[in-house]
Amino acid sequence: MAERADITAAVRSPRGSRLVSCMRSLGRFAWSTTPAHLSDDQVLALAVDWADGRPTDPTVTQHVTSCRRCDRRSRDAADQLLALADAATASFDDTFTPDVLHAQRTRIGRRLNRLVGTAAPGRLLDFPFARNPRRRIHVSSGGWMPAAVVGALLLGLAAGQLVHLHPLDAGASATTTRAADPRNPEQRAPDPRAASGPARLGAAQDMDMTGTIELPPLPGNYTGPLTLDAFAQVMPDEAFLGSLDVALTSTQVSELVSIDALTPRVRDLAIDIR
Amino acid sequence: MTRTPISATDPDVRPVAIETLLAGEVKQLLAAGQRAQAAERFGEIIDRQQRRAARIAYHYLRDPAEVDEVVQDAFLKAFLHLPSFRDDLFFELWFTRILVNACLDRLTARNRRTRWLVQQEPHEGMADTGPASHEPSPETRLLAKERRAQLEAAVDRLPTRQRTAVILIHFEGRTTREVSVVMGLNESTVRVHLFRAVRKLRGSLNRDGWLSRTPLDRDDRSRRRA
Repeated sequence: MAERADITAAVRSPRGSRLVSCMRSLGRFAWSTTPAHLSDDQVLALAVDWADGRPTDPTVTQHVTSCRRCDRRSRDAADQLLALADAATASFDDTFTPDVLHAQRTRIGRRLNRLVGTAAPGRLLDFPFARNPRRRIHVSSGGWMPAAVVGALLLGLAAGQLVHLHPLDAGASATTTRAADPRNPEQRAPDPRAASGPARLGAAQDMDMTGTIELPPLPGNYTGPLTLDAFAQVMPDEAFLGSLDVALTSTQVSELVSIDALTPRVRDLAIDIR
Repeated sequence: MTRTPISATDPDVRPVAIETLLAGEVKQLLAAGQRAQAAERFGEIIDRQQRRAARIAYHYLRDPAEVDEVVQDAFLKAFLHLPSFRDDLFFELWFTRILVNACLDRLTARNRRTRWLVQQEPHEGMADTGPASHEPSPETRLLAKERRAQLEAAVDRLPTRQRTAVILIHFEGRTTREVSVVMGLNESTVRVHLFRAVRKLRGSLNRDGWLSRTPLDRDDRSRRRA
């Protein structure tokens, strides 16, 4: 404690304070004359300029020539940049060997020749065991569009005709409207609501594939247009609604009609329960 | 900022490359309708540029199959658009621009795809492509592979413009003026991108300890720099 008090007293003395201020001035002078080192960014910029062969900042270059430490740092940075480029190129060289590049060149040439039309188009290989090799069909590039349109039209017409074909029913004419004999109630269409499975099947057979309800035959040779009254005579409301119900609920594929007849309806089950 | 187009007669840039002269010939042949001869002459350009193009595409894509496709497409696109090529410009730069754009398109598409797919190891199966003899030891190869993977990952993490600058200038040895034409940017902007890219690369590779174990001999590097 006593030594410390002595030192404090010596510094506080006029002679001691002069010594301290002198040392401070010397330090400031040394700091101002010693050049500061380059920052990391300056070193990196210098290295980048070296690597690219660009002229560097003259003040920075001058400092590097005089400062050994900054010179070493900038050389290290330049070496690291070169190492980056070398590593990247080595990776490419390992992957793209001369053989790979040659194969690539061949592919480019082939595509180029195909582009200018000097190379033959891809060859069609015949089936190896075919006895008579088929002739290739050459379709001119300009005519395929109308041909496709005409073909699609024909296909559409044919499909439309197929869809509207009626099932082969000997007594039924598909599109003509027929009237039933009002005096012969047996000829009336059965009521499918009251009917069981086979009866429903009969009602379903009054329909064609499109679900159009076929009316019972007209009395005599009546061929005129059907009025509402005549229609009511031909088909009573219950029968019409029943046929309509069948048309709505039954399948329209004739092959599945038998399966449909065997399938119980919810409504029928409800009736049975009652 | 307006960018002055680089010209084949510009004294600041390297002398007119033979590819540019060949491209002029091919253009004339195409204009005359002689497509077969034009394709033949264009083949010489391909021979000269193919390796460089594949290398640039590889720096971007890393997938050999994709690199192959991009390089093929770029050459065909260049041939198709050669009638619009200006004779006073450098073919090499024009073509590099086509290539880089194609690579960036691929990368965008790949990023979209990888959002939905599980990413696979990029270099699986590539180690067996080289010859079996005179190979370094498996340990050395593994270390080298690890180093490359770190570098590639660091390059891949760079933004697009910085990556283009570092690839074309540092890996391919182009000047900033040439790269400014390829990127459509001012030369000083390219320098800024390059500097930022290098700083970022250095930072990330320093963290991985990549730069502390550079395999090159110092004398060899100094010789190369000279």
